[in-house]
Amino acid sequence: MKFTKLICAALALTSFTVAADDDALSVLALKRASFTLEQAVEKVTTDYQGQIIEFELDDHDGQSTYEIEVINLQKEEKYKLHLSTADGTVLKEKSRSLSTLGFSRLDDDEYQALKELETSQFSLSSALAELREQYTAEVMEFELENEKGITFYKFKLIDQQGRKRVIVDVKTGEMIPIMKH
Amino acid sequence: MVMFRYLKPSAAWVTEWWKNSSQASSVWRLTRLYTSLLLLVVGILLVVLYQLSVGQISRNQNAQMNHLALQQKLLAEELNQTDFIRQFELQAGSSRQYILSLITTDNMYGQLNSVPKNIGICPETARFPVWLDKYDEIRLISGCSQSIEAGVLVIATDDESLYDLQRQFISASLIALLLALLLGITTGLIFSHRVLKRINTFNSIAQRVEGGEMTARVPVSSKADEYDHMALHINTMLSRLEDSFHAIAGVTDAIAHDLRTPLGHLRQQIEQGLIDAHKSGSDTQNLEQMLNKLDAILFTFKAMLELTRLEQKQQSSSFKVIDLQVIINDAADLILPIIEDNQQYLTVNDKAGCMVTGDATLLFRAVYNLLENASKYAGKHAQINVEISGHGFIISDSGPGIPDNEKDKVFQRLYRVEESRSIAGFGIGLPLVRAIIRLHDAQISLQDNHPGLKVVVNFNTAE
Repeated sequence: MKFTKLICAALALTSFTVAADDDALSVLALKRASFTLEQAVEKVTTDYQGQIIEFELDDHDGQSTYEIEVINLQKEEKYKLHLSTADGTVLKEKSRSLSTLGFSRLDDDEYQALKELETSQFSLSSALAELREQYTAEVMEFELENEKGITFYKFKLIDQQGRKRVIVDVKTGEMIPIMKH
Repeated sequence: MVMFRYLKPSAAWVTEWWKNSSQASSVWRLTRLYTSLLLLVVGILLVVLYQLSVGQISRNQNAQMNHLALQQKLLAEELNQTDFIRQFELQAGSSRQYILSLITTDNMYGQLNSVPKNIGICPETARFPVWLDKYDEIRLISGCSQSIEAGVLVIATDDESLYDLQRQFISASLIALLLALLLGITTGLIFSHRVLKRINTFNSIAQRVEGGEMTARVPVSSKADEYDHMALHINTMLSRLEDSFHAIAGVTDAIAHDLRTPLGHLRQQIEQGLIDAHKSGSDTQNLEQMLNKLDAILFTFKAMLELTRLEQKQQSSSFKVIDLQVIINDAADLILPIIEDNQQYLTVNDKAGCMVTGDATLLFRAVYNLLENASKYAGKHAQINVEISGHGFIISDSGPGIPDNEKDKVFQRLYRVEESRSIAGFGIGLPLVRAIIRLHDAQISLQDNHPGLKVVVNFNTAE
C-alpha cells in the first residue's frame, strides 16, 4: 500500500518536472525564433485569407515550428500548418474540407465564434503585441473559443514566474477578469 | 430563420380568424372572454410567484452587495490603508457567496485580477464574464464596482444558477400559459357546441312555426335546467297561440257560413227584382248597382276565407313537380285580352326553364294575380315583362310603382296604396299571392324597376 503511494508520488513529481522542462524549452525556442509569432500570424492571415483558431509550439523533423490552424469560411477549408520559427517557411500543410455531403463539420459554437470574429474589429496581431508589452511574457499557445455566447481567445503566456492565462473578449477587445479560488 | 418564413402567413391567418370570430356567435364571444380571463389569472399568478421566488432572491442579493459595498467604503474612510487591506483580504477570503476584489494601481487583492469592463457603479449591477481557471470555463456573474480611496472595489456574486432558474421559470410559465389557452379554448368550444345545439333547436322550431306549422313544439329534456324551463314556456305559448288561431279561424268560418246563406238569398231576391223590373219596364239601374256591390262583398268574403285557409295550410303531399314556364304561359294567354284592352304590351322571356314542386292551380292564381295587378295599376301603354330565371320568375312593369315605405304594407290584408284607391279592388290580391308563395317555401319581394315595380319570386330549388 505504502509502496503504491510512493510510486504515485514519484510519477506526479516526474510529470511535473517534465512540464517544467517543456516550458523552459518552449521559452528557449521562442527566444531563438527569428521569425516572430506576429509575423507568422500576419503571413498566415494574408496567405490563407482565414481566421486563426489555434496556435501552439511544436516541432517538425527536429525543427521547432509554429503549429497554426486556420479556417477559411468562404472556401469552407481548414488548414493545419507548420511554420518554421527560423524563417517562416511552411514546412507542412494539411487541408480539410469543412463540409461533408453538405453538412458542416463545425458545430454551432465554433461557427458562432468565427462569425463574431469576422464581424468584430478584433486584430490578433495587435492583441499579441499588446500582451507582450503588458506582461513581458511569451505567448505559447492560443485558441479561439465560444462559451455562453461569448467569443474569446484563450492565450497561454509564459515568463520566468511560470505560466499565465489571459482571456480576451473578441467583441470588445477587452480582457476578461480571471477569478482565483 | 425558418420561423420567419411562416410568420407572415400565420399572422395573416390569425388576424383573419380573429376578424371572422369577432362576428361569430355569442357563445364564442363568451369563450374568448373566459379564455382571456383565465390567461389573465394565470399570468398574474405567475408574476406574483416569480416576484416571491426568483425576484425575491435577486433583490436580496443586490441589497446584500450594496450593503457590502457601503460597509467597505465606510471602513476605507475609517481605517488606514494597511489595516483596511488586511481586513479586506480577511473578508474576501471568508465570504463564500460574494466575490470581493480590490484593484489598486499597483496591486490586486481578492479573487479577480482586473476590473471588468462595462460594470455598473453600485447600486447598479451588471452581468459580466469571468474566467474560472479552476474549472477552465467562462462564467457569467453579476456585480458592481465602487471607487474608494485605495482603488476600485468590485463586489459580485455567482448568480448563474439563479439565471438558470429564471430561464426555467420563464419556459415553465410559457408552457403554463399555453396550456391555459388550450384549456380555455377546448372547454369553450365544447360549451359553445353544447349550448348552441340546444339554442339551434329553438331556432329551428321557431322557423317551423313561422312557416305555418303551428303544431311544432320544442323538445324538453329530463335535465329540467333553464333551457327546459324556457322550452316549457315556449311550448305553452305556442299552444295558446295555436288555440287562438283556431278560434279566429273558427269565428271567420262561422261568420262566413252564417252570412253566406242570407247574402245568397239577398242576391236571389235582387235578381228576382231585376227580372220583375225588366218585365214591368221600370228603371233597373239601382238594382244593378246593388247587385254589383253585393257581388263585390261576396267576392271579398270568399277571398278572405280562402286566405285564412291558405295561411293555415301546410305543404301537402299533393305537391307535384311542375314546369313554371307552362303556368306562366297559361296565365299570360289568359290575361292577354285585358292587357290589349288597356293598350299595354306583354313580353314573356322564358329562355331558362324552372321546375318547382307545388300546386299548379295555386301557382297559376298567384301568377295571374300578379299580372292582373300589373295591368291594373301600370296605366296605359305600359310595358309588362315576365322573365323566368333558374330559381323563379320576375314580373316587372313600367308603371308608377310603389313607394319604398309601402312595399311591406301592401302584403297586409285589405291595405291599399293611397294613389290606387280610385281603382277598384279590395287589397286582398297581394296577401293571397304571398300566402301561396309562402306555402311553396318561396320568397316574394317588391323592388324598384326605375320606373315601375318589379316583383321577384324565388323558389328554394335545388340548383
